Amino acid sequence: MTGGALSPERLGKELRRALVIAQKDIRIYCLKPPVLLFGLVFPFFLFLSFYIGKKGPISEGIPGLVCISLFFASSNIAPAGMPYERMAKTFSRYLTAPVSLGWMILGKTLAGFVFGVCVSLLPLLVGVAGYGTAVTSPAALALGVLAGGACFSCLGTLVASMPTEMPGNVMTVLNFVRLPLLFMSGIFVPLADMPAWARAVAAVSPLTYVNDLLLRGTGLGCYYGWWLDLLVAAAYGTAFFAVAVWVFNLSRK
Amino acid sequence: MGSHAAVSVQGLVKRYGAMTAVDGISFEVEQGELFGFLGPNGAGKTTTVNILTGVSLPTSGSASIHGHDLAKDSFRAREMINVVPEVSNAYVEYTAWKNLMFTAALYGVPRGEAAHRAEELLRTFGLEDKRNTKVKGFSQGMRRKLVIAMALVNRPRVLFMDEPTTGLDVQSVITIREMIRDLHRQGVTIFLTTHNLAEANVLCERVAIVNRGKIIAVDTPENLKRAARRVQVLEVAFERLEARDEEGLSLIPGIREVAGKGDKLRLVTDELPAAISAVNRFAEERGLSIIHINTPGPSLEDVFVELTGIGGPAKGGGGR
Repeated sequence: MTGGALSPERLGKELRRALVIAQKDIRIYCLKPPVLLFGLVFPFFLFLSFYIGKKGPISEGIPGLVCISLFFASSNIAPAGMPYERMAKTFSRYLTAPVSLGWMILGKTLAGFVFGVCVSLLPLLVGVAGYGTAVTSPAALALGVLAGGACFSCLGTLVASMPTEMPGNVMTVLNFVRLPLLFMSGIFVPLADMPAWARAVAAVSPLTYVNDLLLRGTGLGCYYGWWLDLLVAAAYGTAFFAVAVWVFNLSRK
Repeated sequence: MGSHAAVSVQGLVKRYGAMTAVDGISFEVEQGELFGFLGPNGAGKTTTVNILTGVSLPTSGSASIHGHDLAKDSFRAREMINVVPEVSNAYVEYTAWKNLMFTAALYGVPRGEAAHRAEELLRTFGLEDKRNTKVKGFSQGMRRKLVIAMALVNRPRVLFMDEPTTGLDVQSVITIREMIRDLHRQGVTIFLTTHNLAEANVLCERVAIVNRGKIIAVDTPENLKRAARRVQVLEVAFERLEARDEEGLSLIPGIREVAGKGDKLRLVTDELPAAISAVNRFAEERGLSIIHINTPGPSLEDVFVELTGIGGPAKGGGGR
């Protein structure tokens, strides 16, 4: 079921309604316990446990912490909200409202993006203000945060497309996906120090590319070109989003 | 009616694997009509409404709202409707006011107009003092009223209502039925899905009875009752009646069914005059005093039972 022809007027309406959904999700779900636990507390302590025994200044660990925060926070909102909305039957409100499925899902994804970006700015500001993290390329840093937020939020939306009413089920699957992606990326071990096979595995994780952009932005060295980092993050995000829309549409058939 | 119908459904089919939930149904609802959609559990009512409101997609067939095809132009179609689902699905984290404003924004109602409309609806439903209270603390009746208010915030031309009075106290039921009549007077097309035959009988201009995915009758409640000529009802009350007397009544030839209804008995028969004579004879023989006897005609419930083949009176019946 298509929504009909997409005129500029219609485009404006769809966009406004996607923003309304994003705003509502941010207000309702940002302070939910699973979001706070898996989006803020868990990544912080995860990073701490790995970094505590590592030699080197804290400022060098800040891009990694920013990346982990971005990853966990952005991908958390949709999986925390959507199963709950299915259970409370509020999800059907979007389906009966004049907003197309793709735009509705975009609104949901946008909420994760905004939350993730805001959360990731916290360690970045602490790093810059307190630990001397240098921002050598603001453009690369901004691209890293924005592309990462979008890509990871789309991943969260994809996992949230699971047709279940139990938030716990979605969170389990989400962490089953997130933890391997995190450990195979170049966050804890720099790509340059990895053996060839590990580098090949790391190349599968979208975090690798986002982290690479963040490292470039803070002048800590990078492995790939910025355009490749951006392209791969965008490709992953687009693929996650497209599959999520397909799965949501499938559940209506 | 054609494209001018408020709701038009042609050969709608919905299959889930080997199971056919909706089996090629067709019907139209006129603009401004109060249309009832009745059927037993699993008949395909909710599936049909889900398709008409965009929640799910049909396997085949077509449906349109005010001429806007739900497959080709669902956006425009959904701009014209709103839905009161069976479950009161307001956002419990939001206040009544925020729920109304969010729904208005989702339907593209400009902010100023939405605020005015929200004030008006809170007043109409007696929720003004709950304006800034989170829905979490609302009673079932208050939630129901709020969900109906949310469905009216965009002034829909077609309102789908699924069991709107289920689980409510008598006062709330009366208020909501009166509100449905008001909306009908204002020209809103109402598509009412209900198990409550009494409610359909007193509210609806036409009803469709659906069973096993097919529509088996569409007409006014009175025409349906007239059509069910074979069903004749005799209502009788005795001064005192013992269980063996009730059993004796059911053994009278021509009495198909005996059911208690408050202090009265409801006898379903094929031959009313013969049944009246037989009941009088039965009372004389057993020394029973008849204190009330009436021939109310078949109720919508009787028609429903007759058409769907369900073996007993439907829940929430008594629809005279």
